[in-house]
Amino acid sequence: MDSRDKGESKLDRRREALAGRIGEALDAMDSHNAGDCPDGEILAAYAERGLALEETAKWEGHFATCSRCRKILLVLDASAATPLAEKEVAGIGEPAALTLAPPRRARPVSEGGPRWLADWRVRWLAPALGVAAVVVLLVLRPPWREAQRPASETLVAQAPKEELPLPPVPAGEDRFSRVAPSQQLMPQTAPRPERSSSSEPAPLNSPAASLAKGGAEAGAAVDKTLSPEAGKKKFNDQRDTIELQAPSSSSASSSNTPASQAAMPSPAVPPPPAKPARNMAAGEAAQLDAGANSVAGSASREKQAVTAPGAPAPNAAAGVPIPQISSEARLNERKVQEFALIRPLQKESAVLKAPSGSTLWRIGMSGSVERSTDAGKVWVLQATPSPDGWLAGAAVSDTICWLVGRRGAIARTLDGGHWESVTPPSQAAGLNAAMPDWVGVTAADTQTATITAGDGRKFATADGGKTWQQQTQK
Amino acid sequence: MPKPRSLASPGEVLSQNASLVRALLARAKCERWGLPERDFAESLRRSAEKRFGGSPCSLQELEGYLNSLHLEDLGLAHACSLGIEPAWEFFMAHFRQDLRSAASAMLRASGGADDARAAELADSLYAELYGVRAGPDGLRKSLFEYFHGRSKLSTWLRAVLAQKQVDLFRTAGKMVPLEDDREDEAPGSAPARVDSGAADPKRDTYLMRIDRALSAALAGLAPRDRMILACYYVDQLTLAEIGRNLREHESTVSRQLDRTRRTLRESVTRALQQEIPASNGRRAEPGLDAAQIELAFEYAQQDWPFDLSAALSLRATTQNEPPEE
Repeated sequence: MDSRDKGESKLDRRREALAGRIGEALDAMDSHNAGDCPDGEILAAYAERGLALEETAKWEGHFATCSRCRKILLVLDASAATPLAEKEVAGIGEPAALTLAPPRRARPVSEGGPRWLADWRVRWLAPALGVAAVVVLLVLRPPWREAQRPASETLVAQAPKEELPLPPVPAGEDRFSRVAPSQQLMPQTAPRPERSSSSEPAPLNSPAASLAKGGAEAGAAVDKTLSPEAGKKKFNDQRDTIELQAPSSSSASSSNTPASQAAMPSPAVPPPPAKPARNMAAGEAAQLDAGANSVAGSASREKQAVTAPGAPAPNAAAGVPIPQISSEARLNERKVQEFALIRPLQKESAVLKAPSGSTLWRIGMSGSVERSTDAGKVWVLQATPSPDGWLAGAAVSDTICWLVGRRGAIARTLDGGHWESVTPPSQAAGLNAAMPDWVGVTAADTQTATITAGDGRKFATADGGKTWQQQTQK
Repeated sequence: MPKPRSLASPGEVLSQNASLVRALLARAKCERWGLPERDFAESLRRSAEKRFGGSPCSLQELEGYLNSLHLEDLGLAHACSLGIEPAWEFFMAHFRQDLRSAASAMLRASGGADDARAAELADSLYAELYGVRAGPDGLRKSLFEYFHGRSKLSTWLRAVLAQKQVDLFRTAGKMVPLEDDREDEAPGSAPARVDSGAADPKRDTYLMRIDRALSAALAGLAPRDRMILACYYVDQLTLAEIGRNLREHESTVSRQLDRTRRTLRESVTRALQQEIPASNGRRAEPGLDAAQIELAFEYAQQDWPFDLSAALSLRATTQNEPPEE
């Protein structure tokens, strides 16, 4: 045994020594034989893997003997910071989706030692956060609200089957009482139990679904599918109330934990039970006022925020949960700012994180997209084609990201900054040529992606969206 | 044999397919800058001619190539090269900050992070992008004319910036520490000889045979494998750094490196086992047996008296001028 070990170590040393000598020979080899150094365009195209195969082989032959070019590539890469090959990134990049990711891995287990460990950490962390969220809700919610906790039948009835029931929209009077004024309430995310590049909805009995349910009673999940049937207006109506809900149950994320990527802000924020202001008892209103004052604003503002003129009066006693808040009930800008002090990120709190961890995209429901290249310290607003709002995304690398949204909207960036529309599959159009809302996307690189419609249909492209093929559902 | 009619120079093919140019023009959204169609067509022609090197190509090949270009970036760059103001405004608004960030990152990677220096490095490019150099015709020649849309404009700018920075270091003698060990050795110098005890008359023969076998094995490597070896042993990069350069995962690079080293050793071993026939007045040399091969590797591990750089001519490569077409 000893002699074999000695023999193997001797072999290793010799391999190492030989290769070292070879390195010297490479350094000294005449690079003239491989041609002159390439210009910036070839270097850039090589860095982007945009050269033809024969060109790549030719230039790699040159790079092998040219320390200058190797240095330039190194410096070029330092300014891009994309550590992984695009294809390999696909398995660990976490696309944003409103659907719950299925509990399966995109990469083989054998390749993911450290990643597998991270998953285990996330798995243990997720229930812990869920328990914490429940505790927060119980603490913040007055006991007399229990009886008035509305069921979410309305939204459940509207939601697609594969979705978890959306939480009821909280009543305005509950907003402030649930907000601890001394805290900087960042949107918390129930961590995703599994890392997956898929954005398919999780089965209801999946760990992710259970986590979502347990995490915040009303089922706040990291990713949820916004019901296509909900419609933009309803979403907008609910947005402001969502901003004011209890922090721990938010589906939005501002943290950098692996599981906290890619959640779109959704109505699925867990809620204090909704109670329409008009049906408030005096005592409740007073309590609301007290709670509100402890944070910001006056009772009159809160009441104003709760119900809009003309909005149907929800009947809490009858168990109809959701006050139908129309757009007129939106807070004015000053109120939004005040609430923003409490909930600074919830409005645009869906974050896509590239595998490097330093580049993030933050997606707002208004269609706004922001990017940070320093792990969230500084955000730069970007223009994207769709004004309707994005529902899911996939950050493949620091410069490649795909977004999908309403009415067939698809966009991608190849350089991290400039977004271009991608033509959706024509075969996805329904009656009256209406395009579906895309609720999920997975992407491997600039050319390869699979998108999921709200009805579960999937379409895949391998040429950057020029052509699409419908995938058979399993 | 007459040339097939479908093959012609890229310029000719382009001039015969105005619809293709118009379609590409629409995709490039050049109307934003007021870039005329003929000017954009000219940029397409230059790009294609650079790619195909003046060789004839078919419409299909040309179309495939042109469709792969970053057309919007190409249109913007060409508009900037012509000095079109809206294009410049757009460029400054959208690329300036990215350039500065890239310059900061580059300087940081070299251990010289400094906001002022980063701004200076980034801003040094603007004059060249605008065109302070005169071409052969005496007219202003913008650096943008060297951008042909094969990559994103932002990546190209970073590549040009990287070239500037590396060349500045090389010409100023500020070698990156990783290269110092190699660069400081005078060409032709042999490493110090280790006293290996009693001299073996066959030592030099063994080392020469390994030398020849190594050269042959190197030549047989794929370019990428040679590049990985160079990055690892010459540039002393980490596997992660090499992975980033090659857009591969670190573990993939590690596997490739192991495989390459194993291949090299097997190739050299086989070469040493083979007999070298007599040639050019030299007598034949028999193949080495296992014990002799072991000894040969032992000698190679101790020291390497042969200077491979003398065996292969050394040519310094420095390039300070902007990239030429």
